[in-house]
Amino acid sequence: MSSIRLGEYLGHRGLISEVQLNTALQHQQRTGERLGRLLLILGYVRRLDLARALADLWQLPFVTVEQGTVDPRVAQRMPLEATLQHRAVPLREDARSVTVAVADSPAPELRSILEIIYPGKAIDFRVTTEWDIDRAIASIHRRKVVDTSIYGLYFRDQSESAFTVFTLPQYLTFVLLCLVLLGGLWLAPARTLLFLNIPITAFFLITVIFRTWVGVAGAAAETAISISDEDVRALDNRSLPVYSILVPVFMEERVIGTLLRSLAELDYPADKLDIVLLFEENDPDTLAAAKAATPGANVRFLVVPGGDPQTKPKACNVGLLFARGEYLVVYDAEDQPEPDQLKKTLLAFRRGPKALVCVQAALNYYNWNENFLTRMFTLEYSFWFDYLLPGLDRLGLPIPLGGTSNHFRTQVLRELGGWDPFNVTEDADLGIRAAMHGYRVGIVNSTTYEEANKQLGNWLRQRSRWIKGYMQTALVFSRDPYGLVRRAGWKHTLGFALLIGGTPLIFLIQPISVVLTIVWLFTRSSLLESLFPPAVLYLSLFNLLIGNALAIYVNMFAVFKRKLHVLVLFSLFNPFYWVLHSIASFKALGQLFTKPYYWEKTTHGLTRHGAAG
Amino acid sequence: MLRQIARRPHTAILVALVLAVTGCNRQQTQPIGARAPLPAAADSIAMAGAATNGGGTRSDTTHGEQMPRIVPGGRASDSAALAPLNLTFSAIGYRSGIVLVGTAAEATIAIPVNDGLRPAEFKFRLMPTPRMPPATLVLRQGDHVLALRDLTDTTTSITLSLADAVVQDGKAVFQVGLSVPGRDRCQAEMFYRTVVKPESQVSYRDMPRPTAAVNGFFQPWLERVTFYMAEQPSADAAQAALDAAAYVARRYRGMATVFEVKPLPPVGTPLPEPGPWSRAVVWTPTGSTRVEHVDNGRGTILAIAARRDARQLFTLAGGADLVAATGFRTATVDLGHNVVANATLRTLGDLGFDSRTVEGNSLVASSYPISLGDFGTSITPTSLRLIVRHSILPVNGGGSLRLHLNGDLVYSRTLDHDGFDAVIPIPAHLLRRDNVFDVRFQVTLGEGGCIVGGPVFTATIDNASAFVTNGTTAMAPGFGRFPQAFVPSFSVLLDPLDRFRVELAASVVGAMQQTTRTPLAPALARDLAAATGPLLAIGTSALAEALSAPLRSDGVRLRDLNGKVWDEFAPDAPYGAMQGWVRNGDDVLLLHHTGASGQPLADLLRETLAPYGWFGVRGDLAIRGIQGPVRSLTVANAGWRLEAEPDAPQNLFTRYKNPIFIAALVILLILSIWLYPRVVRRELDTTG
Repeated sequence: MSSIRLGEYLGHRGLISEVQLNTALQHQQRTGERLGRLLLILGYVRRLDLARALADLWQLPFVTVEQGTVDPRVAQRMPLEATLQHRAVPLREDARSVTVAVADSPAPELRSILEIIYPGKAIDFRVTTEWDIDRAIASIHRRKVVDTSIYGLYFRDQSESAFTVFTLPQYLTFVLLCLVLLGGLWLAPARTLLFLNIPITAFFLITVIFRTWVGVAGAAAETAISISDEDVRALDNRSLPVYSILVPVFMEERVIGTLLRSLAELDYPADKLDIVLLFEENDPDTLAAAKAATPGANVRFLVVPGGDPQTKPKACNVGLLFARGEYLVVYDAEDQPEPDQLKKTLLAFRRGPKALVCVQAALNYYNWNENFLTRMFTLEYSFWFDYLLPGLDRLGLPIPLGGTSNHFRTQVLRELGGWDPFNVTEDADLGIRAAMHGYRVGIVNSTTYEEANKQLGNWLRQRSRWIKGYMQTALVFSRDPYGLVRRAGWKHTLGFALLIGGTPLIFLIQPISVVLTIVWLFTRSSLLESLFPPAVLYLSLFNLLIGNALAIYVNMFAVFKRKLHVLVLFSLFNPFYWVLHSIASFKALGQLFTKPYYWEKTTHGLTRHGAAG
Repeated sequence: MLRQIARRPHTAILVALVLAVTGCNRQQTQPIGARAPLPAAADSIAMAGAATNGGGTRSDTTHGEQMPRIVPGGRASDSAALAPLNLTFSAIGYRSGIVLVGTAAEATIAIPVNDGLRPAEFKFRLMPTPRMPPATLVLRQGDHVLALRDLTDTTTSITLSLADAVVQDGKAVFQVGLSVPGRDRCQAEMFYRTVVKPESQVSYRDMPRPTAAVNGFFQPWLERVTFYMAEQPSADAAQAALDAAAYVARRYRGMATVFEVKPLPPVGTPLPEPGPWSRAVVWTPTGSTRVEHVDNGRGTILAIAARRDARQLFTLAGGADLVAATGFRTATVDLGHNVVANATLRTLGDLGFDSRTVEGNSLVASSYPISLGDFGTSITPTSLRLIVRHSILPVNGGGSLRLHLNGDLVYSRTLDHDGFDAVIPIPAHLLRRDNVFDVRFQVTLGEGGCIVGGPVFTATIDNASAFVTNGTTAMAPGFGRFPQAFVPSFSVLLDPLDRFRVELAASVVGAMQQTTRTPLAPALARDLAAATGPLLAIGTSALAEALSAPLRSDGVRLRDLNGKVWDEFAPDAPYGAMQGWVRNGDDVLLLHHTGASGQPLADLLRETLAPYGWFGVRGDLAIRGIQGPVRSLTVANAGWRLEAEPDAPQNLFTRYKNPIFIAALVILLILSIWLYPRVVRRELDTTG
């Protein structure tokens, strides 16, 4: 069957005009995409009409796959993986044949598989739309989809899943340390506190030095993989692979329209985009809002089957099952990626080493000047994505991925087990996991603009989730410390410990130091003297004066790349901002024990500002 | 003198006033500290109706007050007795050494000589003035020259034989003189100083004689006196120890003699007889008061069996001299106390000074260290009647007298004729607890007066000179009021009564007694209600609370006027404190400690009294934590604020430590169990 014939057929049926056909054919010459998909993306033909036309051309009957037309027992005999790979759904069977719905011309390989699954029976193919196929798969294999999206990683390798918060040795060690601490405080409180204070003080110092070192390395590195506009323009669209964009949305009816507009502005052939909006079953409003926005034909709606935990990574895992692209990116609902981001990323993948499994784009905020919180948040993000992550990349240390705009090679991502739905910072966890498996994570010079949290409560919810996720990640990868060192080496292990383990720890410890300092300033109590013998006192003083000054100073770097110079002075307010981190850390610690997988939802769409220019 | 009065009408008026006041006051004898405990009060603590034993009244007995078995001191004691005794000058009271000024300077040295000993030699360690011409050092006893030695500006040591020295009443008195010939005597007084350093020594020969009688028990020089009592002593034992402390301080004033209170050895453990230079006093009401002689031992242990005997020995002037036997045999001694009444005139003689004669050619001086404690409670001298006779000044000469009080000039006059009798007002604001009156003569003897062989100015300060003591200027509150506030008698409250506190009280009494010639008469009170007048109290924070002491809380903060905290003791950090204040019109000196151990208080007292004894005690509050050091300060009227530190969380923590930790442990274990299935052994959700 040739494309001319499809075009002729549709024209003959009066479903498209000649001009539309010519336009589609011109597109096809540029992109190499199939005509049917092009006509669909261009909006010249309805999905149902296209499917009927293809059925006629393939000389196969057309079928509408609805709830009553599928016998689940028959359909479920075909493995989910094969179903997804060939987009074929067995509908029913009788004594002689089995009826199978397909959205594409049946390949011989599919026929062979079906003959194995349904031996001795004739295969009766019917044509239907892709949407019907996807919906049917999600419905028929609901249990399997749910299990795979939730427990996929756990079944693949329990040691890499945060399903178990603490392993038994970890838990016993933790309880034992608590008992030792309690006993020490009982028997020799002053000495115990002193012995506690010494490593804490040393840890502060090491962390400050580490972050400064990485920040300076990041400043020198600029971005690891720099793609110029000329490089992007030189790309041949015909060589572009299908790119899947996963957008998990939950209670995002306010921003869904903006999201679809942003995605439509991406500089990537629309017919090679596989945009998958992932809805939750219990969120009909967002689904309705998305439908009302009348997205293009390259946008698919996937309703994630319910079941705990209801987290973003679980939705992403469902998306990963259905993703068709060679590459894949995850965006949040409020994201506004720079239009050329996909092409830049693709070039980054092509130029990067084979082990490059993920490319992280920078994140920043379009509403940075809305209030104090958004300014501080912007400073923090600017430092993190413009200095710290490039610094980690340059130093060859593991990179915790940011929440969105992380682009993957889809197949490798599947091999890695996808996202851990039990980890509430599944992105950071995935970045570390990739590094521990010998893969590289790169940084590309493209930015996705997000909405910075402007409300304190909302900020605390989001930050507590992030910190809880860091705690989970630290616990997951410290289950086998010797194995970790053996697999990843000392350098990776120390970098991981300081960044992932150290971040929550610092914020948990910091209030104690602040309180001690304030108490001493106001009371000059001699009780504190025993905790600070001269060596510790000088080290603490260094941390207080030089360490904090350094932390503020490197944070000042953040403004330069983004030319947000008005934020320089806001760096001085970081000590107050850190107090908020500490509050969030304690909340996170509490939840780690009580609600480890609970996803503190961040509300988006609160800003009065428009998108980035 | 009459001519002098006639020439200066205001002097005449002053003298008349003084005489009038003196005359009036001769008619009335002030009661001895109207509120102070009477000397006999110290007896009231003894058990009534006790049988007599020897000369004393049998005292109350507590468990453990048994006379231990005495064993001879042994070879160590014999070795000590056989070895020649060498005493440094600082040990016998010359702590600053002796300074010889000018070309014909002379000073008196009195050395103690125990029975059986004879002075052998002086080993002077000298520090002459550089470039001083060769001089001659003369050692004599009256007119009897014992030794003559050359002394140059490089001489640092001279040994002088005392073979022919005369000893009288356990004491040998020497005059040591220095003559620098052929020099301008006036200049010499300005420039030439030869210091006999305190590390100079006197050595003795022969062996000390064993003590034969009670009146010989406290020999002229002793290194150590130890009072043994039970850990939980009877009140009489404690009273005797306090009296003994004051007695030893008086008898060995200025000397390095140590008084200590030790526990009686456990039952069955013998008490070794001390060596020849130490004495042990054992409180043991089971026998009689006597000097113990074991196997012809040295008699260095005195057993005291009765409160009355202790009173006679330690508080009665010359009381010990009445017992020329090894033990008390009579009860007829009148125990009228020798407390000095608060007279309105106190002559230098009363204060223990002889008339002094000084000689010189330009500057001649004499110093009188006077403690306010020498005058009595709340009494201060208002004027000094100074009686001086001096040589007639040459026609072309002249001279003046200056009286300095603690370095400040308070009076001056020209010298004329052959003497004067002047009443000199004493500015009250210059008086301190311990004072030095300097009488200085500045003379110019005219042409030829400075030549050797020329005229010499001589003056005698009569010990009939007297302080008029009708002033009642109140001293600043605090330690400066002691021991004056304790003169002549005071109550002592030890709560609880134990050897530790008796030892602390004895240290305080002994240190105070060193500063005044007036005998201190502590009277042990059974409880606070029985304590009258000025009070020395030693106890715990409960006693501080009962006395409403300025500092009585377990935790304390010291703030200045601006509210800044300068010092802080947490409620759970034990401390020892000494504080002095006036309570209901009576001075109180309180030593107390918080916490269970009294060690901070013992350390505080030891450090406070070192090295100058009570002379070095200043302020009104001394406080010391476990780690030290002692903080001495003046809190009253000085802008400081003592505030009780409330029960701080750490104190609550200390108090409820065990329940808190047990609760924490239980919570930890419950949480560990409760969390285990939630964070460790989770079940897969198989419901889909």
